[in-house]
Amino acid sequence: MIALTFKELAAHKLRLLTTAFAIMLGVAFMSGTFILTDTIGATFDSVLADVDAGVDAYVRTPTDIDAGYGQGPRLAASIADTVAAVDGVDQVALRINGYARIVGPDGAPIGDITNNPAMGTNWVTVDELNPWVISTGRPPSSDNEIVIDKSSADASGYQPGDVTTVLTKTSPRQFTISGIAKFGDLDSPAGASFVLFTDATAAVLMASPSEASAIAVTADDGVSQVALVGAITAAVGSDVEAITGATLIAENQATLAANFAGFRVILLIFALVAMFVGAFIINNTFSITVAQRTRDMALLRAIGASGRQVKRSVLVEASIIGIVASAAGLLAGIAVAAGLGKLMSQFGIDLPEGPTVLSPAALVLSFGVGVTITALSAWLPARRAAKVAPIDAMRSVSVDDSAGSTRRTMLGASVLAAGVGAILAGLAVEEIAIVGVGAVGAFAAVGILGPVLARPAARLLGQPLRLRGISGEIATRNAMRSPKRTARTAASLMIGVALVGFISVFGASSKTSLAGSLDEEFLGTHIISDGGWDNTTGLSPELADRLRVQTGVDEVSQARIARAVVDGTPTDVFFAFDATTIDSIFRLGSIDGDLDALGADGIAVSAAEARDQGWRIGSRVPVTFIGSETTFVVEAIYTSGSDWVGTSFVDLDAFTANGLDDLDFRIYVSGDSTAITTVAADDPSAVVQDRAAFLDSKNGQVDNMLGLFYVMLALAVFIALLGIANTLALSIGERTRELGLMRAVGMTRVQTRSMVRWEAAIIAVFGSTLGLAIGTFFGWAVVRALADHGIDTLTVPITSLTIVTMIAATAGAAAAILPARRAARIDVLTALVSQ
Amino acid sequence: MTMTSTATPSRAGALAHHAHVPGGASPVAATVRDAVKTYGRGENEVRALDGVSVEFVAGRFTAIMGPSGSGKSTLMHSVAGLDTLTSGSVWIGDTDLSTLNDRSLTKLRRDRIGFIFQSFNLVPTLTAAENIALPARLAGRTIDPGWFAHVVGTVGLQKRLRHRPSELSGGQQQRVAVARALASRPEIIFADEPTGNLDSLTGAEILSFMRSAVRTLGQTIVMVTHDPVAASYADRAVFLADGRIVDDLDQPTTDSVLDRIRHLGA
Repeated sequence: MIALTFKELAAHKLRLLTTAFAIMLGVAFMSGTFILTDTIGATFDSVLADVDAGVDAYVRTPTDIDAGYGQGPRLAASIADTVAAVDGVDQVALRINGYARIVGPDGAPIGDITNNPAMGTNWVTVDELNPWVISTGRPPSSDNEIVIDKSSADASGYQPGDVTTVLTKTSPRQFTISGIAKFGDLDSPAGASFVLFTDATAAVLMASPSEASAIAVTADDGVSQVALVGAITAAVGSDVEAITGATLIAENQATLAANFAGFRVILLIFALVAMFVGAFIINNTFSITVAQRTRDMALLRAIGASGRQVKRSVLVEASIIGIVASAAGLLAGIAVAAGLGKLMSQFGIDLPEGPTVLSPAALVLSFGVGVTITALSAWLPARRAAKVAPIDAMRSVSVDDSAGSTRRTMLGASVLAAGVGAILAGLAVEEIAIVGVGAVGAFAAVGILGPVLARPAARLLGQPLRLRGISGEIATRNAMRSPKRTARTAASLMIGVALVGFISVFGASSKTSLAGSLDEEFLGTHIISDGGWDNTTGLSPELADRLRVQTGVDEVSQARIARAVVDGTPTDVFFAFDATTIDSIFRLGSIDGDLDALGADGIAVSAAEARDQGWRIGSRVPVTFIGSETTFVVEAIYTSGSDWVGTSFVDLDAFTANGLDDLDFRIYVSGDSTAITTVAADDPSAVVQDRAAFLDSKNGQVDNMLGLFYVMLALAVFIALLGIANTLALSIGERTRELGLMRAVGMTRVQTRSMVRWEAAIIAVFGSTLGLAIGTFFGWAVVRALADHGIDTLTVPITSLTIVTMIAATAGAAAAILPARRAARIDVLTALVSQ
Repeated sequence: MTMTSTATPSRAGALAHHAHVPGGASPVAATVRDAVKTYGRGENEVRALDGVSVEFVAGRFTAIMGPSGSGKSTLMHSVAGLDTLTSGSVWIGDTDLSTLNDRSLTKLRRDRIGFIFQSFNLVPTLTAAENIALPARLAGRTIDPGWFAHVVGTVGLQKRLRHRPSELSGGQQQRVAVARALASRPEIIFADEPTGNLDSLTGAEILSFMRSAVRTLGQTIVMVTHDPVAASYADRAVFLADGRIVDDLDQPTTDSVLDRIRHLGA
C-alpha cells in the first residue's frame, strides 16, 4: 500500500506541489517567527549577560511596579558609602538613569521616539561595572562632556569634539561629545538612543543631586555573589534591596523576553491563521481527489484491501506531504525570519542583528504543527475513502454535487443563532470572553452553511456575468455545480478576508471615534508633545511655564503619565493634570465636588468609575506609584472626557510629591497658533499639533498598524488563492471531456480561459463577501464591547471593503491563470475520446 | 459514383454556399486530397490514413464505414478540423484547413460544422435548449426563434427543453445533439457513431431525423459507423480498410452493405 501511495504522489506532482506549498508557507511563517524572536532573544540575552558580567551585587529600591526602561525608584546616593564600607565589597559605582535626548546637527532630536526610548545614564568609571565600551574618543572627563551611543552617532554624523544640545527634564543644555560608545557588542540597546554623562551631571539632569537609580558592586576576590549580597543586605537595612549580579542579568533577560512575548504571540497568531487556511486547502484537495479516485480505491477494495488500509493510504499520503512541506517550510523559515525582521523595521520596529538561532523547540513545534495540521485536514476525506465499497469500481465516478442537506441547514442555523446570541449576550453583560466564543461560533456556522449558500450565491454573483456572454454563464453554472467544493474553496479565502474586514472596520471606527471625541470633548486648540508614548520621555516643564506667560496663549494644561496601581488595579497610564485648568481644556461634563481642591492628595474620578467602585466625594483611594504610595481622597467626580483624562486622575503636585519625574507627556493648549509655535520653537523635541494635525498623526498610527496587519494577512489570502488555483486545476481535470466537447463545438481558447477565470472570480467574490460580512459583524461586536474604552462609533469603511472585494475577485481570477491556460490547451481529440 | 473529380476544390467551395437548395447542382461540401496520417516513427509507424481522397457532396448523407482501426474516425476528425494530417489537404467548402490556426479552426467548427458524437454530447450544466443554442451563443449570436422551434419540433424535444442532460434518456440526449448540430445551419454535420450507445429502436429514430434533415432541409451529413443498418439510412457509403478507401456504394441498403463487408473481409 505504501508503494502505491508513493506512485500516487509521483503521478500528481503539480497537485502535490500546490498543497505542499500551502502548508510550507504556514510552517515557514511559524518557524520564521520563532527563529526571529529566538535570534533577537539570544542576541539580547548574551549582550545583557555580557554588559553586567562584572556586577556581583546590585542595590536598589524594591518596587512592585514594572517601572519600564530605567525609570525605577531611586535611592539615596549616600547609600553607596555604606555599601563601600561592607566587608567583601571591592568597588562601588552609582547607576543613574533617566530621560535624555540628543539634538542632531539639523536641530531635530535624533531617533524615532515613537518607537524607541531616548535615555540618559552616567558613565561608570569602574570598568567592570560599566556596560559601555568606548569605540572612538574618550569618556566624559568634565561635567560639560558626554558620550553618545554609536547608532545615534551614525545617524547624526556626530564625531568626538562636536557640540550638541541635550534635552532633559530641565532646560536644554550644550555639551561637547567626548566619545562614542557601544553597549557591549551592540551599537545601542534595542534601538534606544543613549547619552552618557558624568555622575554629577547625570544626577542633576535626570534624578536629583543626592539620588541614584541603583548601586553596582564588585566583590573582593574569593567572595561569592550570595555572600556579598548577604553582607550588603545586613548593612543597608530594609528600605533598599540587594540582589546578585546573576539575578540582575536574569531579571533583565526576563523583562526583555516579556517585552518580546507579545510581539511573538502576534506573529504566531498570523502564522496559525495562515496554517488554518492551509488546512482548508489540504482538506479540499483530499476531498476532491478521494472522490476522483473512488474507482481506484474500490478496485483496491475489490482485490482485498481493507477499508482501514485504504484510509491509511490516504493518511500516509497526507503525512508525506506534511513532512516534506514542513521540512521545506523550516528551511524557508530562515529566509522568512530575515524578511519579517526587515518588515518590522519598515514599520518602525528596530531589531538587532545577531547569529541566527534555530532552537530545537521551535523546530519541533513548527514541524509538528505542520505535519499534524496536514494529517488532520485529510482525516475526514480519508474516512470517506475507507467507506468506498468494492462495488463502486463498477460504477461511474460521480462528483459530489449535493448542496446543503436540511440537516446541515438546521445545524448551521442553530450554530449561527447560538453564536450571534452569545455575542449579543456577551455584549449585554460586558464579558469579552463570551463575545469571543460567540465569534468562533459564528465563524463555524458560516463554514457549515457554506455549501447551502454556495449555489444561490454563485447564481446571484453570476448575474452580471451573463452580460459577458456564454463563458460567464457556464462559469456561473460551474461554480454552482459542486457547492461543497465551492464553499470549501471560498472558506479558505473567507478567513483571511474576514480578518481584513474586521481590522478595517475596527480601524475606521477607532478613527471616527477619536475624531468624534476630539470634536466633542477637547476644548483647546493645540496639543504639544514630544511624540513619546510612555513616561520614559517627555517635555521639560519649562515649556509649559513659558507658554503660561506668553500673550495670545489662553489656557495651558500639562499632562503627565505614570504607571500606577489604583485601588488594586494596575494601569500603564495614570494621568496627572493641572487640575485648576483641565476643565477648560476638556469638557468634563457636570463636575461634582471641586477640581481646584485636588492638591497633592486629592483625586478626581469619572462618574462611571465611581459608580462601579462605590466611590463618592470623600472616599479614600489608595494609589501605588513606582517608589511610593499615597491614599488619595476623592475631591471631584466628572461625567465625561474619560477618553482624554482616564477614569481617574490627580494633580501634578501629587506626581511630584510621589517622586515622579517632572516630564510632560503632553501640553494641552488653547490660544493663538503663532504665539504657541513661537514659544514651542525653543524646545527641539516639542511637536505642536492643531486638532487636524493631531488627528492626522493618530490616524497615521492606526494606518501603520493596519498596514502591518494587512501585510501579515496577505499571506493567508495568498494561500487561499493557491487553494482556488488548486481546486480549479482539479475541477478541470475532472471536466476534461466537456471542455473537449465545448472546444469541438466552437468554444475558442480565449473563451475557455475566461470561463475558468470567471469561475475563480465568482468563488473569490463569494468567499470575500462572506468574509466581509463576518468581519464587519465582528467589528461591530468589538466596537460595541469597547464602547467604554473610547471606541464608540461604528464606521464601516464601505469604499475600502468594496476595494477589498474587487481585489479578491481580481486575485481570484489571477490565481486561475494557470488552470485556465491548462483548460484552454486541452487537446480536443484526446479529451473527446478520454473515458 | 458521385466522385466529382473534375470540380476544383475552390469552385466546389464557392458553390457549397448554395448547397442547401435540394435538387440543385451537386456542389462539394468537403474535399479530402491525398490524406496521410501516421502515428509513431520508424518500425512503430502506423498509417491511419494512407492516401485517401474523397469528396462529400452537399445535400447528401454519406456514411463512412470500416472495421475498427480502418481509419474512419481519423478521416472524420481530420475533415472536421479536430485533427491534423501528416500530409495531404482538407477543404471545407473553399477553405483549406491546413492554412488555419487554432482560433480560425475553432470558429470554423463553430460556424460551419455541426457535430454529433457517440456519447457525452452535451454540456452537463446546460439545459437542452442551452445546449442546442451553445454554438450560436459561443459566436455571440442568437438563433432565429422560428428556426429554433422548427429544429426542436423536428426532433420532438418541445417538452424537454428545460431539462438537464442528466434528466434525459440516452435517445433524448442524442436528439438534443442532432438539434444542436442542425440549429446553426452548418455547411456540414459530422456524426461519429451517433447511434452506437442506443438501442436499435431509438437508434432508428435518430437516423430518421438525420435522413429527414438531409431530405427536407438539404443538410449535408457525414456519419462514421460500423453498423450496416445505420449505413442504410445514408445516400452513399464509403468503405475504408487499412487507411485506404476500398469501396464506394451509392444508395446502400443493409444487405448491400453486409454484402460488401463480406466481400471485403474475404
